[in-house]
Amino acid sequence: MGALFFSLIGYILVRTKLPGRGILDTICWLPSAIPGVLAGLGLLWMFLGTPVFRPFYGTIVLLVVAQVLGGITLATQILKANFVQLGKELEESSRMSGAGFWRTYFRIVFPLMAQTMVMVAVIKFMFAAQHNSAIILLATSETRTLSLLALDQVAAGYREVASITIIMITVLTLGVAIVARSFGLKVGIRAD
Amino acid sequence: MSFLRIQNLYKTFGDVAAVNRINIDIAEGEFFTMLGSSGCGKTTTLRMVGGLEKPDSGEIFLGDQCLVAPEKNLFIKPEKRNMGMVFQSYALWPHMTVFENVAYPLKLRGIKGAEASKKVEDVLALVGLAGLGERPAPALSGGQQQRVALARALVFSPKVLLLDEPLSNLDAQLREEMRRELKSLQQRVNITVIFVTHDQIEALSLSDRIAIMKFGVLEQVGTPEDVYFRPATPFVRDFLGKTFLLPGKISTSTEQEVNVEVQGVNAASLKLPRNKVIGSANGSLAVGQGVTVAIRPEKVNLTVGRQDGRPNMVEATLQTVQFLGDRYEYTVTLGTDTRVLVSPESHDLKSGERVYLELKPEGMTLWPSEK
Repeated sequence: MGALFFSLIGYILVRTKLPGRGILDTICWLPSAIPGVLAGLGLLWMFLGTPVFRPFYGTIVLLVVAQVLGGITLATQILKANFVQLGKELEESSRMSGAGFWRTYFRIVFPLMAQTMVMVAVIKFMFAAQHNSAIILLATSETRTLSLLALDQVAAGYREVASITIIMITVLTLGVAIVARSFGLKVGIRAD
Repeated sequence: MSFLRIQNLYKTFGDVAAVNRINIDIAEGEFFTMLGSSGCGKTTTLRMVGGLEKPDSGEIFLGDQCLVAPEKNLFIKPEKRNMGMVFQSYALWPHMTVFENVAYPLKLRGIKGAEASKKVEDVLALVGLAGLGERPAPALSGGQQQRVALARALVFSPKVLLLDEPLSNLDAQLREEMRRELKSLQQRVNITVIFVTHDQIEALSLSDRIAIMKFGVLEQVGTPEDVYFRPATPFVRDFLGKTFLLPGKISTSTEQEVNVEVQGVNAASLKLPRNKVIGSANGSLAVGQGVTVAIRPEKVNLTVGRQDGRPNMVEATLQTVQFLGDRYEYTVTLGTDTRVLVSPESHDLKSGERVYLELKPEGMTLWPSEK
């Protein structure tokens, strides 16, 4: 879901001449530029301070939002590079064939970008599985990431349980990394 | 009435006027070419017709429908213009088969199933690709990919076909073959074509009319013979084919013809029919006025000895002779210009020898002095 959202941002940044896309580009860099604790605090503030968002505190939604925002820099930059590679004429010929913007986006751009987007999603999953300081502030006892769980377990003295959790994280990220690697190979040898 | 009308079209990129208030009228079924070197605004004009670029001002009409008019805030999107377009890079979608590529415009128009298959098969047969529908698009050769792109642009029977340098990615032999096919295809389908190219051979051989552009301005619009034999500007003359330029001055001038005394080629004078005088030189033809005579090499006869009594003989120096089987190529310096003359006849000549050239009046044009 994050990948789809970011592909739109990347598309806007590369293809359009909309005013304000420079600002959008800068905003995409922010989550990586400011410390995680600060970003988490900001989010916490937003979710607690805004009545509309308050019910989401303590739910998984909040964690997803934090994770999605955390991945924005990497994802948009990778997708941007991919859009530059993708010839503009592929979209233009779709427009000339009679497809509107959204039809072109979902029938032409999206399938051609799909492999990169899966890769972005995989990388983001790996980040999510590892620790993220922004999450510390947002997680409650029911919803927490594996790394937080491990931290709690260490603090409570359950060292064996904690190491099992850590091993789980390692296995998960390694497994995903292998998937990503094989995917990258597929993309690499695809001859046009 | 004109079918496609471009009025006062204007577009800038930064400070540069890429297309500078041009007017074009194109008739239905016409093969219209925009010719010029890169950056002259021909592709930008084509893209504005297709709706891929928005003009700063000016209007484009298709029949009596206005496609774009920035002053009236009117812009019809490319997908609503019902025009087919072929790009230089073919722009086939690599994740689809040939059939899917060609069927895509039909699908968007709600044509499905057997009817769509029939149309796709027909158009693939038309471009000579029958039976290749199931291949993935990237698996085809360049020439085949270009045919698929053409089929995709034709399958929905568009009103206008826009071709943006469709042949320039092909190798020389294939380009020639595709050129002939394109012409016969256009005659069979009888569709209005706007063709953009920088290749003068393509322009001359394919077009009903050619517009020659330079820096966003139309230099001349006319039939291939018009622009080649009766160029309106020095740019058009030098852009299309080669010429010898001979500076001189007018010695006598009558209603029917003009005599020009040329310098440095040992000729008494050149006689030109009055209708060979170009543009601004025509107004004042005072005796003694400086002029330039331009002559196409293919309108020059090479002779060995000086043949007295024949008009328009000039002296030149032979640089090299090359035998190419079906013809000889003589490289000749006339005045300051060195050009190649092609002749089927063999002359017993050596490099550096003095030769005489007979300049045929129909290949000559008279211009105001350029130096």
